[in-house]
Amino acid sequence: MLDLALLWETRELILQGLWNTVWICFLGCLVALSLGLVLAALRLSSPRLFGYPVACYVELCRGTPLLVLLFLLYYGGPSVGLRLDAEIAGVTGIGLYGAGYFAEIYRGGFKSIPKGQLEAARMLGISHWHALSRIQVPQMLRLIVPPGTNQLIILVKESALISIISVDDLTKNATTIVNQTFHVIEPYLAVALLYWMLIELIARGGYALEKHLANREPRPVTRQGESAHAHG
Amino acid sequence: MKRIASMTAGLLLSTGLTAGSVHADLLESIKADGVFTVGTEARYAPHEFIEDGEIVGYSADLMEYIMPELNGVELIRMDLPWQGILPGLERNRFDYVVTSVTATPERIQRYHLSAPIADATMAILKRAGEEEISSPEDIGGKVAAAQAGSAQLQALELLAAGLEEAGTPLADIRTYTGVDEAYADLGTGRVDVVINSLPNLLEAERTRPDVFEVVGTFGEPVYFSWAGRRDDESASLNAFMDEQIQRLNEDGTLNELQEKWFGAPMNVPLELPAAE
Amino acid sequence: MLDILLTHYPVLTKGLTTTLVVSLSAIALGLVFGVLLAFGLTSRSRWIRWPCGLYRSFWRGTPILLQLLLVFYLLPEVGIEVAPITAAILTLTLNTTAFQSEIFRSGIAHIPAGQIEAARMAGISAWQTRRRIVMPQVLRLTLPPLTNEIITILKNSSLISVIAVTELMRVSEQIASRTFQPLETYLAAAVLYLAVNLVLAQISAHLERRLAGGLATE
Repeated sequence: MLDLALLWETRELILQGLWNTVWICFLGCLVALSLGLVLAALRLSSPRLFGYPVACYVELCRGTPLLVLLFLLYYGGPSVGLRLDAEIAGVTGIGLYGAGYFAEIYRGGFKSIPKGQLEAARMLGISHWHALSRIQVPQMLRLIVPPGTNQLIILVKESALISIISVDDLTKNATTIVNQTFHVIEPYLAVALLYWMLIELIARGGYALEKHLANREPRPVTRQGESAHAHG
Repeated sequence: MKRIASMTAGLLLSTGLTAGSVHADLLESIKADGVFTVGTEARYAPHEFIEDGEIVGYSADLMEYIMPELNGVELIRMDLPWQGILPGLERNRFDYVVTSVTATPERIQRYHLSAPIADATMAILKRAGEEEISSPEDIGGKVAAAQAGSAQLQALELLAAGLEEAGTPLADIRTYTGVDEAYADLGTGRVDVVINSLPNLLEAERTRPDVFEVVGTFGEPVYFSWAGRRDDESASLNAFMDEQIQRLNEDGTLNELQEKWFGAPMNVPLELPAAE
Repeated sequence: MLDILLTHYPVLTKGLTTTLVVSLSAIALGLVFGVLLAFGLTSRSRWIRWPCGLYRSFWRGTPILLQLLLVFYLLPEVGIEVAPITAAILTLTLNTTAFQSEIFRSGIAHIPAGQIEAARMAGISAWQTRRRIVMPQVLRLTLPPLTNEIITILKNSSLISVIAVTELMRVSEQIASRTFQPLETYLAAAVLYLAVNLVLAQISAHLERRLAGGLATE
C-alpha cells in the first residue's frame, strides 16, 4: 500500500531537509528567546519609556501571519536595501516573530512573582539588577517553561513556511520528492511524522525541565503566595 | 447532541461534494454535469496569469476557442502552485490540466500530454547589461535559478552536469515555488541567471527591459502541452482536446495567439515528437 | 502601500472575504468538535481517551502546511471529492479541533469537582450537568485562549493557497507579481490581517467584560 522503499531511496533529500529545518529552527528560536527576553526586560525596567513600543511590537507579531513577515523580509527587503539569503531570512523571521510571543511569556512570568519579595530585597539593599537575576529570574523560569515550550513547538511548526521562500527545508524537499517520484502520500506523511517527532522531543524536553526545576526549588520561606497548583 | 452531530456531518458532506453523475466516460460526465474542472498554475506569464482577479493569457484565449465546442459547459480553473498540478491531476482533483506542461519523456509516459501548444525550448535570463554572460556556457561559477519540480529545472541540472565536467561548475542552484519569485531574486541579485522556456523569458524581458535580458537557448527543441490522465475514462476527453488544439493549429489561430502573447508565431508540430 | 490598497481593493476585499469565510467556518466547527473531543479526552473509558489523545497529538504536532497538503491529496485516494475550499475548511477544522479540545479540557478541569458531584447527587444527568453547569463556566474561562486560537486560525488561512484557494495572501502575491512592488503589497496585506485581528481582540475583550459577572468563586 505505502511504498516505503521510496523513502529509503530519497533519504538524502529527506535528511538534508531535516538538517536545514533543525538548524534554522534552532537559531531562530535562540533569537526569539533572547530578543523576547530583552524586550520583556526593557518593558519591566522602564515601563513608561518602553511599555508602549514593546506592546505594539507584541501586537504586530500576534496580528500578522509569519508568512507575511517572511515575504516582507525576503521579497520586500531588497526595496530597502536588505538582501538576505533565504535561510537567514528564515532565521530572522522566526526570531522576530517568536520574540513578540516570548516577550509576553516572560512578562507573564515576571508578573507572577510576589511583589513582597522584591520590596524585601530592596529594603535589604540588594541592587535592582541583583534582585532581577538572583531572585526573579529563577522563579520565573519554572513558571514560563510550559508556555515557553509550547511556543517553541509553534515556531518549529511554523518553520515549514520557509519552504515558500525557497529554503530547502523538510517541506520543500518533500515537495521535490513528490515531483520527482510522482508519489504524494509517502513523502508528505513521512515528513509530517518527522516534524511530529521533533515536536515530541521538544515537548518531552520541556516537561523534563519543568520537573527538574520543580525539584530543585528550595522550600519557599513564606507559604502565602504559593497555592497548591497542580503540575501539568 | 447526536442530531447536531449528524446534521453537521450532513452539511459538510453536501457543501463540497461534487454531485457527479457516474459515467464511465469523463467527457460524458463533463457534458452531463455542465462543468469542466481544470488545474492551472496561474503564475506563468504570458501563458496563464492573473490580472484584476481573472486568469488571462495564451491558454485563456485558447480555451475561449475551445469551450464553445462544449455547449453549455462551464469552465472552472483551479489555481494552485505548479508542484501540485500533476499530482493533482493524478489524484482526480480535476479533469484536465490547462497549464503549460513541458513535454518530457517521463511525463509523456505517465500522463497523456496533449498536442503541443507552444514552443518550450530552454533559455537563460540574466540581468540587463551583464557583459560576462553571453551564452549558456558562460554561466559557470554563477548562481542559477529555476522553478521547483519543473522540466526547466531538469534541463538546468543537465546543463550544470555538463558544466561540471567541463570544469566550470555552477556556484549554486536555487529552486522556487513560482517563476515570478525566481525573476524577483534575479532582479535583487540573489541569483545570477534564471532558466525557463524562451517565451516566458521573452515576456519577462518585455515587461522589464531595464532589468532583464535573454541570453539564448540551449538544448533540444521541446514543447508545451496540456495534460490529461492516461486511463480509459479520460480517453475521449484527451482525444477531444487534442483535436481542438490541432484544429486551431491548422487554421492558424495558434499562430495568431502566439503573435499576440509571445510577439511572434512559433513553429509548433501537430503532434509531440516521439509520441507513441 | 496606500495606493496599492486603493487601486486593488476589489480583489483584496474578495481575498479577505474568502479568508474570513474559511476561518470563521473552521472556528465554528472547531468549537463544536473541540468540546466533543474535550469530553472524549476526559472520558473514563480508555478506549475513548487514547484515540482522542492520538488525534490531538497528531493535529497539534504537525505543521499546518503539511496537513493541508495531506488532506488535499489524501481525500481523493479514499474516494472523497470535495472542492478545494471545502478541503481547506475541513483541514483547518481538524486542526483547530485539536487545539480547542485542549483549551476546553483545561477549562473543564478548572471546574471544582465538588460542583459536579453535587449536581450528580441532586439527580441531574451527566449530560445536563455538562450543559447547564460545566459549559457556561468553561466558556467564560476559555474566552482568552479561544480568542488567541481564533486569531491563529485566521493567520493559518494564509496558507490555503497551496491547495488552490484564492485568499488574501494569494491575492497579495498576484498583485506583488504584477506591480513589482512587493514591499508595499505585503505591508498592505499585513495591515489588513492586523486590522481584522485587532477587531477580533476588541470583540473578545468586550465579551470578557460582559461575562465577567457571575463566575463561580472557588
